[in-house]
Amino acid sequence: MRLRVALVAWALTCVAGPALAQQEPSSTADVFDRYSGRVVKIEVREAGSAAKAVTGSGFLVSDRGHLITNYHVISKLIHDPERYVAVAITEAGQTVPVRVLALDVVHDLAVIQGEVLVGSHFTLTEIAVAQGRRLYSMGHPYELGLTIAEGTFNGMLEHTRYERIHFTGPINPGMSGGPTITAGGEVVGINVATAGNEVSFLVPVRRALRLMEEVQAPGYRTPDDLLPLVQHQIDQHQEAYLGPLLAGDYDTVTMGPYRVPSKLAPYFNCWGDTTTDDDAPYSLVDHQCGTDDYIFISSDMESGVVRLWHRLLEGDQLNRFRFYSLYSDDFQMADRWFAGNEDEVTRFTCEDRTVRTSHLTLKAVFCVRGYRKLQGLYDAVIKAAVLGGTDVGLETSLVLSGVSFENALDIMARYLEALEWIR
Amino acid sequence: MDPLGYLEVLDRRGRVVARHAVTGEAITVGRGYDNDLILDDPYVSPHHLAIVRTEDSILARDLDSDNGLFGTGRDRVPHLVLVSGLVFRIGQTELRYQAIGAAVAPTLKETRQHRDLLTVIGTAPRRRLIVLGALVLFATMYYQSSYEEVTRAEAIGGAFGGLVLLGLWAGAWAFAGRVVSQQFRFWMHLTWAALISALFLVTAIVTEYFEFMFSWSSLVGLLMGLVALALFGSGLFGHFGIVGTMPVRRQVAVTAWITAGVVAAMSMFALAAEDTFSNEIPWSGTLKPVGVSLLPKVTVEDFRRRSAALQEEVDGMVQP
Repeated sequence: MRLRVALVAWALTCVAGPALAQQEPSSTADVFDRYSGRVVKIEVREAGSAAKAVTGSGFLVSDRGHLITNYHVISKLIHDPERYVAVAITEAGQTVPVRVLALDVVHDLAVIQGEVLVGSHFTLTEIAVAQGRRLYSMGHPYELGLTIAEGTFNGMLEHTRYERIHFTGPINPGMSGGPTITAGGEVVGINVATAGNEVSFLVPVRRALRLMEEVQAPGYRTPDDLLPLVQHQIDQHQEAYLGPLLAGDYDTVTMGPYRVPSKLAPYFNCWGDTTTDDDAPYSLVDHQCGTDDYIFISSDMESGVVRLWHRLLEGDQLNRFRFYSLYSDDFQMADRWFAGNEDEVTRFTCEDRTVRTSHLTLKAVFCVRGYRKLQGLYDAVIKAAVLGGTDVGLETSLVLSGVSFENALDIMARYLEALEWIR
Repeated sequence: MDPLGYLEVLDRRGRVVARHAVTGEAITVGRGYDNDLILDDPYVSPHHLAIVRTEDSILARDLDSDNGLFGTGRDRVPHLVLVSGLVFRIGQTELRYQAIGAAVAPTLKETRQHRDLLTVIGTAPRRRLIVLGALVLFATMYYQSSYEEVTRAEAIGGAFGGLVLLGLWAGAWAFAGRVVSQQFRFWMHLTWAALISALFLVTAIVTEYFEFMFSWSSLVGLLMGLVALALFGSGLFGHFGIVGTMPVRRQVAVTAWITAGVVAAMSMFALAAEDTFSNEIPWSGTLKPVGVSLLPKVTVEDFRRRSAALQEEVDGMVQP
């Protein structure tokens, strides 16, 4: 009971605090009226033709024209600075060229600046919010003009590598980079993604605060070329999130006569399925795990995706030749296509061998491709099929994106050793 | 009276379709039934031409026909002196005079390879055995490579599907043979095609096993590629042999050219594929039911080292 009282009191101070400082608006219309001038539309345009390539939102956070937006809104500017320019368009219709000052690729944030942008701005502070609190998300969805949408705060996401606020409210394309605020005008988070049906995600404001502190620190200078910075941030981040994968102490799951790795790290989600077709002389059991979150690098590329997939095949009604036809076809089909374009990644190249681990004999395949612009990062696919059974087999594949070559090799070795035969 | 030569009627392709002996006596040529040589050409007059002997030559004389007599020139001529090998025209029919001593082309020899083929696939029981053997092989492969519910009837049906394709192929060759050498050897072509396809299939299976067991060591790949090419060449060579008009040397040359063309086209495709960007994993190996003890194996550490060697290749692509 005492705890509940304490919580209520805390929640009240959160709400009441700012209300004392300034008169909190009473309706959504008031919120819109008061803060719409601080939200801008961001357009990334092709330098030659001035044709729009990307549109998003942003908001003013200083009296010197600093704006916060998502990295993914302005990423074309980083990857192709000769080809693209960006502008901010204010509620009053003023169009101002902007430049990128700082990036946080991992959390999908950027600080940009339009020198002549003045007027009222949001002040970034860390803020604690209670679940269920009403929030207002602002931005330019589908280029329909500045919009305000109501929703509620639903806590932080669990099992993610990057802090994300779960916001129940409609965030639509074009609102990325816009602020989600309290009625009192405090920024809670930055619109970043949606899963549809009003399930939306925000970057917590403290990430934007860190980035602004960095920019405003004395002696801060924006690098001429921001691409190495992107690479550096991904590299740094990799060490943190791949730690559990490199340690090799995985959660396991039993599939038929095999024990296989399952949750490689706490931020993994796993799900399984069985295919039983009464007419088919075989059965398939699938187990998949993966990360729901990834780092946006460009429209065709993402990093930080880790996905694994196991399939147990049993065909006791098939002779060994027919069973291996099934096993072979299935193994060749699995995980063969990826996204990416020629400007950003090379094609894949592979090595395959029959590998004897401490527990099993496997046909193992290691395929890898390199990132052209973010050198030193690779996508890797590890595939393996357990050999030796005449009517039972296990296929597995592990996909890693945006990792160093060394990390890919280390994880591959640990992963292969983690496959076991238990009876 | 002994003939002095022959008057030959040629078809559009210059081949002889009829001959008439030319003796000292006059010969008449025309569409009428009272001629010595009757031509079914509607452009030829009932009494068109006479071949007569003069003191020192043989003469073709126009009998005041509607469409006339033409020698090598463009204008109609009243008569022509016939010399051996001369081709002339009445109506739309070409005629040739050949003197009795005219040289003939050397005899074509029946080729040895052709005879060998004939002995392998020449007798009906052998042909039946080969086609049946191929059919059994196709049906077995169809069944063993399927993993959905499949009945024996379906497997045999599937194999017959393959046989129908071979039948079309053999039919095309047989038809070509019919046109070129008047020999419609459908069953020989079918048997040969079945034999070569069966060998192809066996090579493909052996290749897959080698690929699985030795992870495509390039030597195995090269060897199997050569076997496949040799089979392709033999297939063509055999079909040409069965058609049977080409001298062996020409047969070898044509086969070599076509095979070289195929190799060149395939290399071009392979090179193009090498340069083309793709998001696909290029690994296309297979799994085979081979006892684990028979497989050459490497340790995880060794596999890691081999995989590490890919970095150089990938980095080379990153910075061309």
